[in-house]
This record gives sequence, structure tokens and C-alpha cells, in this order.
Amino acid sequence: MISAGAIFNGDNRIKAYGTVNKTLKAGTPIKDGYEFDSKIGFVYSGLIKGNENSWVFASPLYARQNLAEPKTSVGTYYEQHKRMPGDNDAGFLSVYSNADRNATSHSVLEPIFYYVLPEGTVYNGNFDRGWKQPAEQQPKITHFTVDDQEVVKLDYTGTGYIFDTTAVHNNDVHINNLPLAVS
Amino acid sequence: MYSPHIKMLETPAKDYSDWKSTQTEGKSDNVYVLGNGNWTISTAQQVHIASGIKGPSDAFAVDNTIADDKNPGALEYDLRIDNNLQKVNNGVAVININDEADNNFNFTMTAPVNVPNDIKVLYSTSLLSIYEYKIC
Repeated sequence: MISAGAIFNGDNRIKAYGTVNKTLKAGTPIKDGYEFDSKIGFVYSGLIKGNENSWVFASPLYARQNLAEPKTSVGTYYEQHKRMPGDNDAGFLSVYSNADRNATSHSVLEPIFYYVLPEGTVYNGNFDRGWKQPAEQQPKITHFTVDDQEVVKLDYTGTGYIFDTTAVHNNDVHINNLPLAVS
Repeated sequence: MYSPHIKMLETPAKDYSDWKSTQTEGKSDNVYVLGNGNWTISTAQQVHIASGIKGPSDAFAVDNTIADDKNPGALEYDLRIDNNLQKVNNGVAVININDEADNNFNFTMTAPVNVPNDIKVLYSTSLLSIYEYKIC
């Protein structure tokens, strides 16, 4: 019920917000692209000046809604400051805001980032969360080697971390050029 | 990037030719490629000995490393002679390995030096006189 005195300034729409359950009544998971039919009806009173007893009935409205699963997007960014073999702290690799207009969410819960480092470089232990990323949730950082390339794993599983895809460069992994790197 | 809870608009790793499943520890579902780039490593025109050391916990030869009771194992010295400047005839490289007098430990070799075919390796545990050996 809309309380007396409610004002609809320049906008005569009444919005009813809600969420869709994760499963149907029978327990079947609801999937992307499912369509839902809904029906809503209204009864108004007191709309006509000078006639407090008048009632207006709006016949039920039918709507079909298409459930779209949220999708997000993020890009990468890197800076190289030094180019010679053996240069320490030669630059960093990071993730970066990506303004893909088709994205319908800006959040990623508990991602795992795998940074495949360029050949001839290694992680130097310097990790920077960056601006707009909550500092209290730290990833578990490990690294391993695949075919002469180091892979740095930033694992946020179980931390509750929500990655913000609109932040500028963050989750920076700083790297060294190896002394025997080949140009 | 592995995103188990929300779908992403980026290319699935499975559709990316440079992706190897070992890079994501065998995960292939919900793995996306966010981007790539070029990293340039270059050297000046020079004759130069590049050197590094590989400890028990290193996958590559690095600047410095640790071998101790928590990281036990062998150390490996790696050297490479770079020459992109001019032809060098009968070149000799002198490699100085740790000894107790100048460093905190002796380096004892456990295997032959691994070199390309046309290189001869000489060892000495005594002080080298470069004039005596007619190197210079």
C-alpha cells in the first residue's frame, strides 16, 4: 500500500523491486535466459479531488521478464620501466578497469588471478593491492613454472574478497628481469 | 583469471591458442583470458658475461639465492658470454667461484661444467695470474 502523501514528482511510475529465487519451486536451478510471467494489479483511492470515496481499479498488468545472468569484464595493464637483463623491479603486471558496455556487474567474488609472466622475468615478492581494493583481504600468493614461464597465482578463495572491476590498475605483481634473460 | 561465481565477457581460456591448462593448474571451466602484452629485454652492443645463480628453490638462475638448512640442496652457477659486437678470437673468460677466504663458504663442484663443444674448461684452486697464463 502506498501511503497517503506519497509524491510522484514528474514520474508517474510505481516501481516494485524484488529478487528472483535461485531455484524454481521444485528445486530446479534457474538459468540464464529463463522467462518469467508476472501479473500485477492496482487499486487506487483518493485520486480524484473532492471525491474521497472514489476508487480507481487498474486491471491486472501482465509482464514477461527475461532473466539475464550478470556478466562482468576486466582488462589488464602493465608498466615496464627497465629493459636490461638483471634489472630488478623492472615493472609490474596488473588488472585494470575495463569499460565493456555489455557488463552488467562490477563485482567478482573471490577470483583467482593467474599472471603468466613474460619469459625472462620472475616475481620479486612485491605485491601491491592498489587503490579501491580492500586492504584487509589478502590473497594467498604462490608461484610455479610452466615451460620456462613463471605463473604467479593470487588466490582469494575463502577470503570474502569482492574484486571491483572499475578500479584503476591494482593487484600489481612486480617483477625482475632475470640476469640470463635473452633479448 | 578463474571466476567461479560470475561469468565474464572476456575470451574463455579454452578458446585462446596460447593458453595451456597447466598455467591454470588444470582448471579450464570459468577461466578467462584478460589480456596480453609484450615485454622487451634488450642489451647494448657488447661483449659481456651474464651470470646468475640457481638455488634449490629457484626455477631460474637469479641474482642471489639461499641454500641453508631450510632450503637444502645444490647451487648452480650459470654463465653466458654475450657477444653482439665483433668477432673475438681465442677468447678466455675467467670465472671466480666462492672460497672461504673471500666469502663465507667454499663452493665444491659436484659435476663437470656443461659447455658447448668448442669450449675448453680449465680448473684451478690456486690463485690465477693472468700474466703467467698469457691471457692478457
